[in-house]
Amino acid sequence: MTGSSSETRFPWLALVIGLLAGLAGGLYYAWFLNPVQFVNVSPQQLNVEDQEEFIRLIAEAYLQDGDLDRAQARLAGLGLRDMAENITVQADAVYLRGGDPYVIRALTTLSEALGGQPLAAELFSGTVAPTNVAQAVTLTPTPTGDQGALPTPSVMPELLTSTPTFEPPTATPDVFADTEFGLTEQETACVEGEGAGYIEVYVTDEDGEGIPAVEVLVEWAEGQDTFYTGLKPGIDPGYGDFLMEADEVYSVTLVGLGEPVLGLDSAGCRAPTGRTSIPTYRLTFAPTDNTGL
Amino acid sequence: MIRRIFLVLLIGFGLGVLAGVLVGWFAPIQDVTVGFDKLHPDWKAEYTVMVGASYAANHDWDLAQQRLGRLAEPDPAAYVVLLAERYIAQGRSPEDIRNLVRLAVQMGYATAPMQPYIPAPAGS
Repeated sequence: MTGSSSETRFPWLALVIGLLAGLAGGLYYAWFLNPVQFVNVSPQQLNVEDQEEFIRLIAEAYLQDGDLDRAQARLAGLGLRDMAENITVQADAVYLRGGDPYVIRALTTLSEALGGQPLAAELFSGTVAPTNVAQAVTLTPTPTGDQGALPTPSVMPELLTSTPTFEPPTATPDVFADTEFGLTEQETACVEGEGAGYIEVYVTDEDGEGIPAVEVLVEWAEGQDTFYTGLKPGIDPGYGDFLMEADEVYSVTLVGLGEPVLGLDSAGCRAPTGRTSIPTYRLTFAPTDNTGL
Repeated sequence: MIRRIFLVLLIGFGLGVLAGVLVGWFAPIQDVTVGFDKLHPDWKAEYTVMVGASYAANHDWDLAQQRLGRLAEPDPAAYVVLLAERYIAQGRSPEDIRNLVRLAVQMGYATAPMQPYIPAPAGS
C-alpha cells in the first residue's frame, strides 16, 4: 500500500527543481547569450546623448523653418513630460558651458517659443531668424506637375505642415541701436597656452556695465565670423572672444554700432618665456555718444 | 518511478526555460536605449530632413556628415538621394525637399527629379 502510494504521488520536487533550473537557464540565455535587440524604435528610446542631439536638431530646424507645431510634433516623439522645461534645461546647460552660440540660439529660441525662460533669453530675442532668407526666397521651385494629383504624404503627416514665418534677427539690444560705440581701450598681450591668440571684446555702457548680446563681426583676408558678447557671463556680461589663426590680420566691428577696429595682426610675438606665441588683443568698446541711451 | 521523475524534471526544465526567456526578453537587464541607427525608418527620414534644415542654415558640412553618419546607413548618399526622390514623388513640403536635395547635391548627386529643387549657387 505504501509503495503504491509513493508511485502515484506527483513528483513536485522534481518539477520545482526542473522549473528553477530552466528559469535560470532561460534568463541566462535571454540576458547574456541572446539579449533582446531593439529596432525601429521611436526617439523616446534613444540613449540620453542621442536624445540631446535630437533636441538640438529639432531646435536648429525650428530656427530654420519657424514651424512650432512641427517642432512640438517632433518633440512629442521623445515623450517629454514638459517640453519647455526640458528644452530650457538643455539650453541653459549649453549656455553655461559656453557652447556653440548657434546651438544656444536655437535652443533658446525654441525654449522661449514653448514658454520657457532660458538664461540666454536676453541674448537672443527669440525671433526665428533663418540665415538663408534670401535663398529661401529665390529657391522656391515652380511646380511642374499637377499638385492635386500628387499623393498625400503618408508618413507622419502631422509632422509635415510647414508655414515658415521669417523675422529679422534682433540679437543686438534695440536700446543701443542708435548709439555709436567706439574703441576706448586696446591692450595687447603675448602669453603662452590657453589664453594666447584671442581677440577679447568687452562692450560696456556709460557706467562701465557689460552689455550682452552685441553681435561682433571678425573679418580677415579669407573669411569672416561673428560672435556675441554675453556667452561667458562668468567673465563679464559684455565679454566675448574669438580665437585667431596665426599669421592673419583681423578687423573687429560691433555690428551696426560703430566703425571697425583694423590691423589686429596675429603674427608671432615673443612671450615672456622667450617662446613664440600669438598675441591676444583686449578691446573695450563703450558709447561715444548717448543719443540712444 | 525514476522515469516518471525524470520526465517531470524535463517538463519542468522546459517550462522554466520558456518562462526565463520570456521574462529575460521582456524585462531586460541591459541598457535598452539605442542610437539613431535603430530608429524607425519614418523617424530616420525625419532626422535626415532636420539634418538638411540645419545644414541649410549653418552650412557646416562636416557636422551634417557626422550627423548623417550616425544613421549607420551603408550608403548615406544613396539613402539621401532615395529619400529626396521619395519626398518629391510624394509631393512633400518643398522646403523639406530642397533641404534633402541640398544634402544630395553636396554629396555629388543630382538626379533628374531633383532638378527643380537644386539650390542656386550662392550669390546668383
